[in-house]
Amino acid sequence: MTEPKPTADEPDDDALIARWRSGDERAATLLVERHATPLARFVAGLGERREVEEVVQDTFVRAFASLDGFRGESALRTWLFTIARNLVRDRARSRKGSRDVVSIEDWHAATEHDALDAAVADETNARMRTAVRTLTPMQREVFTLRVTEGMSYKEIAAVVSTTEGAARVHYHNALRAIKEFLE
Amino acid sequence: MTECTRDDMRDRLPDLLNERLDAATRAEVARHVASCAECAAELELLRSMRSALAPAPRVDVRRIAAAVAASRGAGAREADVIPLGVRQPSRFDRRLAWRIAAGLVVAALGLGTWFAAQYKPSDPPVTVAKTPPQHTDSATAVPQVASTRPAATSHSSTTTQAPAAPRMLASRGLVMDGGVTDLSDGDVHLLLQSLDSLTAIPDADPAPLSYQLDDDGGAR
Repeated sequence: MTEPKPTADEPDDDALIARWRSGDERAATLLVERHATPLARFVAGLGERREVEEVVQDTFVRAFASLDGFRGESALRTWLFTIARNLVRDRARSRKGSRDVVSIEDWHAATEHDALDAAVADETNARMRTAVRTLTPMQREVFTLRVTEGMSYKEIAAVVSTTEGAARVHYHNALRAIKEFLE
Repeated sequence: MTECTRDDMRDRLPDLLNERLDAATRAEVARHVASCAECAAELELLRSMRSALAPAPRVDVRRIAAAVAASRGAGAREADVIPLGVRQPSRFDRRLAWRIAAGLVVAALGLGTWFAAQYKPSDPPVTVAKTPPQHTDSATAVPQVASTRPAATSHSSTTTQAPAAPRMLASRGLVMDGGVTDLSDGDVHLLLQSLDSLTAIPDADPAPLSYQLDDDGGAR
C-alpha cells in the first residue's frame, strides 16, 4: 500500500488529534494524508464511483467537526471508516436506482477503461474481482477491510455494525467462497 | 496439501500481510508459514487479492485538508459543513419528514371519521298515497295506503310530501307514527266497518287469573 503510515518518528493519531484540538492546523493535514487513500479505496469498494473524493472529504469534515466528542474508545481509523460507510449508504438510499452507485468490480472496470489499460488487464486480477462479486455485501465488506486494510475483527465489527465473532465468520466464509470459485 | 491445524496462525495471515503484527508475533507467524504449505498458499492468495482490490481512486489530499481547515474556521458542525455537490438530507431530516407525513395522515383519518359520524344520510322522503278503498268485504279491507318513492310517484292528486309524515309499512298498512286522527271521517268509518267484519281477533288482554284459597291458606 502506498498511503503513509505512522513511523516511529511520526506522531500517532491520538497525538495529532491533541495537536489539532490545540489549534495546530498542520495536524489535520497529516491525519488526512494518512487516512485519505485507504478511505477512498474503501468508499470505492462500497460501490461509490463518481463522488469518492466528495465522500472522503465529507467524512473528514464531519469527523473533525465532531472531534470534540471523540473519546478515543475506538481508533480514529475505525471511526472514519464508520462515518464513510454511513455516508455511502445514505447516498445510495437517496438515489436508489441511479447508475452512480456501482459495484466494486464495475468501478474497477470503469477505472481501467478510463485509464485505457483494459487491454493489459491481468486475467488473474479479473478472476479475483469476479470472485469477490460472488460474495454477499457483508462478506465483501468484511473481506475487503480484513485483507486490503488489515483491520482486526474488532475494528471491522465496529465499522459494519456486527460482532467480532460474526466478522470472523464472515471473513472465513468469504475466503472459502473465493477459493471455491477460483478452483 | 496437508490440512493446517493452526487456526490461530491462519487467522493472522491478513495481519502479516498488512504488517499489523508486533515483531515477535510476526516472526512466529512467518516461521509457521515457512513450514505450512496451506498457509503459504493462502498468504499468496491474500496477497494477490489485495493487489487486485487495492487500486484506489486518487483523491486530492490538500483540497480535503483545506476543506477541514475551512470548516473549522467557520465553526462548522455537521449541519453546516462545506457543501459537496448536493447535500443529502440527514437521518434526522428524513425522520422528521416521516413524522410530519404520519401526523398528516392521522389528522386526515380523524377528520374523515368525524365527518362520517356527523353525516347521517336522510332517507329519501316517503310519499304517502291514500286511495279510496276498492272493496270492503275482505278481511284485509283496510284503507289502502301505498308507500312510494318520489321517482315512482304517479298519483299526484293525492300525494303529500311529508318529512314528518307517518311512515307506512306497505305490506300491512300499519301506522308507525301518528294515528287514526290522520284519517278522514270516511276512512275511520270504513276502518271500523272492516274491523267489525274480522273474525278470530285474538284477545289483547290476558285472561284474568283467579285463585281460591283453602281453609289452610293453600292455593288451589
